[in-house]
Amino acid sequence: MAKAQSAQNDWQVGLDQLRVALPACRIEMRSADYTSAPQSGGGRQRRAAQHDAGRLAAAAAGKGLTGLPCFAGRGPDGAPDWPKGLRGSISHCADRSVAMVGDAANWCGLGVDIEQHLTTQIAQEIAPVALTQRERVTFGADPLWVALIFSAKESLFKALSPLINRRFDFDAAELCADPKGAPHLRLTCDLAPDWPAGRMIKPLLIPCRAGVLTAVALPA
Amino acid sequence: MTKDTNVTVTTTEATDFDWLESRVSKLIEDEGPIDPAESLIYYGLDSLRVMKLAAELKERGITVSFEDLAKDPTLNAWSALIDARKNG
Repeated sequence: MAKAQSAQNDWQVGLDQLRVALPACRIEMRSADYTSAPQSGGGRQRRAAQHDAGRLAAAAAGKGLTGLPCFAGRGPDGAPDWPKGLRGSISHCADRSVAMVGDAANWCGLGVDIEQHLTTQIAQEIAPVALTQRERVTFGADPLWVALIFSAKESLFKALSPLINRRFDFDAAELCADPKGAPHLRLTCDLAPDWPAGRMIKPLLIPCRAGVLTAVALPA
Repeated sequence: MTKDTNVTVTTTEATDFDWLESRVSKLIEDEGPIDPAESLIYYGLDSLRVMKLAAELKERGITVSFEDLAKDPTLNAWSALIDARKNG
């Protein structure tokens, strides 16, 4: 119990930052119950427990927004299927699940993602696939930046893919600085008529003690 | 034997179905049997692990993107994809 509380605290500062940045959204985190999963193996049981924790977090976030619990279904690709009038996103990392829910009148897409800190080895392994050439020149394979970029692109995918009804890959956007120096995701290709190459999208990048937390909120 | 030598030995293994099944079993940390037609998401495979596999395949000279793998995450689909890229 103390360990679970500590893990929650390791995300808490980041969650609070995200809540301040997106006051119109509700963001909740829940821990997965792994008691039915074996100590070794048990990937399926852990995944099921993560799924349940994510849906509980979504229900709590929906209740915070509307006063009623929101029960997110599951689409054919496994992505959450949100009740009419709501937008949202769920992410899992180890035994933590986070959900972000907003009113569809305010947002046309919401994406949230949490990732554990990367080791130097894993950052070096995934950088050639997760980062564009320009990002590799700018950020190298720094574990924190690789984790933030990977996570931000996950958040972008969750927010934008349902909106434009198409999937896209990690090279469809790259992290850069806008003229004021603030980090932005720049689309590298035309994804849809309203989402052409060059369009800039502001992500929220929040390093936490437990890992990294990112979000993309696309206003309606 | 240095670590680099070990990597070289590993990459000379055939990138076939058995290799793929073994790698996926390690990635999902589950030693049980994997239904080759079932989504690996249900076995606990997450995005970071899919990205690691895409990177490992790239190291082995087989270019598949994250999205190539993510859109149909089953052993059968990935094996067919890898075979197609090897032969393409």
